[in-house]
Amino acid sequence: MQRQRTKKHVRKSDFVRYGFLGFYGVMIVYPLLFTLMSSFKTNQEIFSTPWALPQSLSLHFYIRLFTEFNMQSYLLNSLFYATVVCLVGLVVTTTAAYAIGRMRWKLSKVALGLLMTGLMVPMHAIIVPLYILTTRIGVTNRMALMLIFITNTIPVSTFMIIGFLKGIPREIEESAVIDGCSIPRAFVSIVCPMLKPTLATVTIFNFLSVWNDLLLSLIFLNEETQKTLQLGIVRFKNAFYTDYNILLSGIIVGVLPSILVYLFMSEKIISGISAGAIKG
Amino acid sequence: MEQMLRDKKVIALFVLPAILLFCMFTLAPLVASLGLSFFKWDLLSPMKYIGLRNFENLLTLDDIFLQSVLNTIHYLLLSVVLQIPMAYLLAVLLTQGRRFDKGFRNIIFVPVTLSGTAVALMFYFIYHPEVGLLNNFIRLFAGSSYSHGWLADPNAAMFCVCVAVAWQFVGYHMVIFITGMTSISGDILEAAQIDGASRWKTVWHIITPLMKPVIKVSLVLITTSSLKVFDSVFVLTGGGPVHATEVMASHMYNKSFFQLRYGYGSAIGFLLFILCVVCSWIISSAFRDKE
Repeated sequence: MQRQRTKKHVRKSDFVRYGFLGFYGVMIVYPLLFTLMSSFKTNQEIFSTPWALPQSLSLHFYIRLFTEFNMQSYLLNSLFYATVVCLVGLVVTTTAAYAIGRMRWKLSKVALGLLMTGLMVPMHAIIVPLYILTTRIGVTNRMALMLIFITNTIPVSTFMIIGFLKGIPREIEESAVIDGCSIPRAFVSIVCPMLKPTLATVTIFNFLSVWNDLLLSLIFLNEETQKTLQLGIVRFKNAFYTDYNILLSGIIVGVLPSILVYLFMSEKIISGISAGAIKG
Repeated sequence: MEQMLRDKKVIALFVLPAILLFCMFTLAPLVASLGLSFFKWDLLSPMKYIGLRNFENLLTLDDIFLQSVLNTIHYLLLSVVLQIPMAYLLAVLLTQGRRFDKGFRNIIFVPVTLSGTAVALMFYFIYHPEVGLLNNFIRLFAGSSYSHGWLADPNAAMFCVCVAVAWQFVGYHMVIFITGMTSISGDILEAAQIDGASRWKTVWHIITPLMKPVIKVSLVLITTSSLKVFDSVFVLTGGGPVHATEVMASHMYNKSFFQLRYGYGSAIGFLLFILCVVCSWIISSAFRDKE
């Protein structure tokens, strides 16, 4: 009797639990699916049969995005900026993290403190002087944008890499050095490979932050040929507010790369957030 | 080894690129932003020193600035209310070692990786008066003539923006909470169970006090990111209707890059920085007292 009652009780709470989680999951997924479905519909269908499946899965609007609205150029630009920023950022921050976390010098603490102040400075507070500075020193807008992105990656990345360096025993480098290896050499061929998992996490986050940026690109990129994906899809909101399909397929093209990245690296991304939150 | 680790040349080679970039593109602009805010400058005519006039104007003449500050705080509070309790509840539900925990966690986290721009555009469509998902849904109950321009309604617009942002970021805070909860030692929870504490009592009396440092991290993160909010507001409403969703960042953007009042924009940016520091400090010290 007692046992039966608990069992029934458990079932009831299970029902509430999975009901709630299921409902929440639907709230997350359904808007995306609704947008995806609507992106295949004609304007007529969007108005008259909002809940129905699209009558055909024609890629017409997606093809138009690429043939008429330069989508490939936006995608390639975003990919280019994000790749360059990740690669250069990785070199700059890994070396800095090694020098600060491993090497022996008086001012290493000061250098660390200096870089960590960056965690507190919001982009908005420095964006006006940055804009003025970069127009004065004569670098092109794209260059300025990438340099700023690279600098933005420094505080968090350095912090994370230093944290991981502490977990690597020094003996391994030491034996290499005794065998006649120089420090830079040991750094490249021994330390870096061991840092790979951390570097991968750092790279994913840096990539996403460049890929998803709006404010900086909005300010620095004026020429159509240099614009990023986010600027490209924002344009659709104003230009096509009666031609919904372009906006909708634009949104789908906007979210698809991120979802693909997430599908393959969800564990890495989630554990990266965890690591950042616990240490920070 | 020791000797080699003191090699000044290598240290300089390794650390200088980062330090130089940082000084040039973060530190110098920060100092310059304070400096600039004492000037009137449109980049075309010469700079004109006007002392504290920019700040004075901000606080006394610029009604929109004051409104943008209030709106930013409104946005911050709404975001905390919409995101933190829900994220906490989800984290509690998903750390009980049940089936599909991971699946639910992964689905709820999906929006976090999307771009704020794309999410905002999607919600722009969802809130659309004629073809939007929300109005279509309401029409199922209220009849096919129902129509409401959610983003054009000054009373509803800010709430709508916050819902869109919450849709995206609840998963982020949930993951932070899950990490915190799974790192609580199993012994403590077992002891509570042996003492006969119910599941919800355990959550409230045992887990929550231990979670305080993690909740603090979440609050600091949501506060600083809310104070800086730009993308979702810019895309969804552009600060409208009649400045009902104008936040500090969008106001700064308009003043600097539309009206070309760079000194004035700088002053707003600098105040935003101060506000971030102050709020983080307040949260940190509030939690320190309790601990």
